[in-house]
Amino acid sequence: MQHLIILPDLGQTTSEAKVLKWLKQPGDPIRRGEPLLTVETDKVDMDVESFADGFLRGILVPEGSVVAALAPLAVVTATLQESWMPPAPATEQPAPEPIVSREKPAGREVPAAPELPREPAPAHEFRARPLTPEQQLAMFRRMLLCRQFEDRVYYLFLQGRMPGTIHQAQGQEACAVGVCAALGPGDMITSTHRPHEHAVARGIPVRSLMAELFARSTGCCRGKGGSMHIGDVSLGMLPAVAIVGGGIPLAAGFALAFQYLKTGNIVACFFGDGATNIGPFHEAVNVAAIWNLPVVFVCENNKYGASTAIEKVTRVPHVSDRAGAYGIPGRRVDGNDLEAVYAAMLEAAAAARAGAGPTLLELETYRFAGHSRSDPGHYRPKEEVEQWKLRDPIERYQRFLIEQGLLSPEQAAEMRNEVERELDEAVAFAEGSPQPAPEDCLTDVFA
Amino acid sequence: MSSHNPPVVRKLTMAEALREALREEMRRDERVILLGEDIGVEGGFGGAFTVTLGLEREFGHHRVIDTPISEAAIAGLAAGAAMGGLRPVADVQYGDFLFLAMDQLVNQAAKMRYMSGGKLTVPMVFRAPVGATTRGAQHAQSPEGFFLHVPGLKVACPATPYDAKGLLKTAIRDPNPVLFFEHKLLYGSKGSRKEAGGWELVADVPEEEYLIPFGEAKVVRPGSRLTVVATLLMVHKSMQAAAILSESGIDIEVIDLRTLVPLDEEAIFASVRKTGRLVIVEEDNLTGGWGAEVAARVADACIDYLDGPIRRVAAPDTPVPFAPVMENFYVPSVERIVGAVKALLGAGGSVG
Ligand SMILES: Cc1ncc(C[n+]2csc(CCOP(=O)(O)OP(=O)(O)O)c2C)c(N)n1
Ligand SMILES: [Mg+2]
Repeated sequence: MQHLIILPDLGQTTSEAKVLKWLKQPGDPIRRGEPLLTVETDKVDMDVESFADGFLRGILVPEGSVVAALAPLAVVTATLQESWMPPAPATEQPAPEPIVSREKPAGREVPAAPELPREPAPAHEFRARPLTPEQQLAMFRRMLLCRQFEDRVYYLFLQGRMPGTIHQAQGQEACAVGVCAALGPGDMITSTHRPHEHAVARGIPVRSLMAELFARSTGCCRGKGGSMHIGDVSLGMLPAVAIVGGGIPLAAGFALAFQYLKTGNIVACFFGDGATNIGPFHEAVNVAAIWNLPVVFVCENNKYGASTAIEKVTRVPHVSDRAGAYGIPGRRVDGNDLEAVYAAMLEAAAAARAGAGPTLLELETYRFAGHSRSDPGHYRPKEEVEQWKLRDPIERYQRFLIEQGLLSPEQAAEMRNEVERELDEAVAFAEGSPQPAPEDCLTDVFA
Repeated sequence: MSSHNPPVVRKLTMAEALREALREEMRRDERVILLGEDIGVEGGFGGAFTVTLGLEREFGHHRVIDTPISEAAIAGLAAGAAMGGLRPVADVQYGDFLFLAMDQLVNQAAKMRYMSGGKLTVPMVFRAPVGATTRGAQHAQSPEGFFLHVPGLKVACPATPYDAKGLLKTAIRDPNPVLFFEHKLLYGSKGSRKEAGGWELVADVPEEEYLIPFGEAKVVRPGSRLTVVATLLMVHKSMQAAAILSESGIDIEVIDLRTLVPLDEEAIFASVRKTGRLVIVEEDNLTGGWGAEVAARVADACIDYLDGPIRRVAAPDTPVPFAPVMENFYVPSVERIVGAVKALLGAGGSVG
């Protein structure tokens, strides 16, 4: 199996990059997600990662050369034994000379697994909660689905198979899953420009999400929405709102309808730390407070709004402190602790359902990836990223479940494989689905 | 460009040309400050499209000011600081976010001079990237038309690096609030982008200082059979259409308006009086775009010279769709421009 590594599309203002340094040499083992080379655009230096496990075989562009977006860079094969071919040239340019410098002798067949972070965050802080083992395993699996969905989407981007841009949430799974696990079928969530994990956690089928990202007519928004607007109101998620803070008044409004119609449902309103400085946040939280609207304001404080650190733009130390200004409870929760998020959300949801009004939940978390696909995140100290990776919510919960005797490492591995198969199916469904017709853009303007 | 004294000329992208305009004006005038999100963060992006990249190193954070995500405040801060004696250049990351700043721009910045009986000036610039680039409905709109309708606001919309630099410098020195629209697919980078249609995104920009006055359209291609009026990305698509049409012997004139307020009516009228036919090309929705205003004024002033109806090539009246196949249908294409020109010449009975 041969994989062609390309220079990914780096955004709207970058069409080419210079190869600075190859981090691997032909013959080296490579894991999916591991950097292969560093490139320099007119803005930044960034790593290009492999989307496949295997071995680097051919380097197609030498260091110092300038390549266009989507141009081939390297060939990775699944095994060291198999032969490989440089890609057929797309244009009249001569085929690139492969630089097959020093293939290492065939070694181990399977590349070494990356080492897990050594000092894990304590996994014992989970209090006893009214969760059955089945629920715990289901929540764990849902976190895997969130993470692996995001990873898969990222690899599809690296392969140049998806249009547009993406904002990914790897690292924030406990927030999405902990909150959504406390909701019922009639409840509603609102989301942001970073909505994939919210949607997966809410239970929108991954095939309809994948199809939307592939811009297909079978997508949850029929190809009209795209990554930043995924959602399905019939399944409890309004189309995501990509205007920062724009979803917060909508959440309050939806809650007003729930209150008026006496449905007993609530709205969980997701937004980021950056959104707490925009006017609509303050207007909507105040109104929800004075009218006791059945809404929970869920702030995923991942410390940054794009490149801007929250403490540079906010004077209060914690987002949850702001609740006091509206006379509602504010709770600060470890957003990488699945059951802590779940417990806090259950309590806030119960209050909202009981007519006691909104809570401002601040979930402290971190996004492992850059702000968007083309952001290498140079504004964050490396040590900070590494520290947070030690608190990976999935690794933590897995350790907890294993300690509790609810899960074995083998079962966890099997679950991951099962999720991969589900995603394979979703990608196949999406890629096999029809494109919308061009004129379809003319419909759905008015009801 | 001046011809007598051969200037030092470099190839710049529009992003670089805009950055140079900001740098020159900040060096020239200490009152010029920049306000916006992620514009001066170390290790950051230089705004959403790199225009301010590195400026904080030269001018410091007291002049390249990173704000919270607070568009209404950004616009109001700019207007307030302008009245207070500064020359702020603020920006939104995407033109769609202008709608969060509408009160400060429309009710405050635009009306202050009038309400004060002419005692106040509001010398501010508000930059906004526009245009559809497969990001879906909330990162794609071309909202220039909204601002045309606001007395007291000027509107600039450069199509080339050269014009972008000269117009931005003029905007900064203008005593009025200026909305400055930039097209995302024209910011450019080395090499040309596929979705930008493959045209050259770098252009000659002289090192010596120059300003481009507002209200002067540019005839980017002289021609005799028909006039095309366009702005931003549509200038480039119209030029491609002109090249295709010239292969079948149809020679059209292409005018880049460069500013919408003030509007260079005379340039449009003169061209229409010469060619007798007008096609207006804009990326905005058809209804109520700037093209409607141009059409009305041409009908008013040049009706006797017109040999056929005025045609508009614009986006349909829908939000911007995400799927590339739909977006390509939505955004006016070179083929649609060619078709409109041919239909109009056919209707006039004189296809060349
Ligand atoms: C009103 C508005 N301003 C600016 C942006 C551009 N933008 C998109 S995401 C983002 C940062 C948002 O930060 P945060 O709310 O913390 O969410 P996160 O990205 O961390 O999930 C910015 C500035 C936007 N989409 N909407
Ligand atoms: Mg954030």
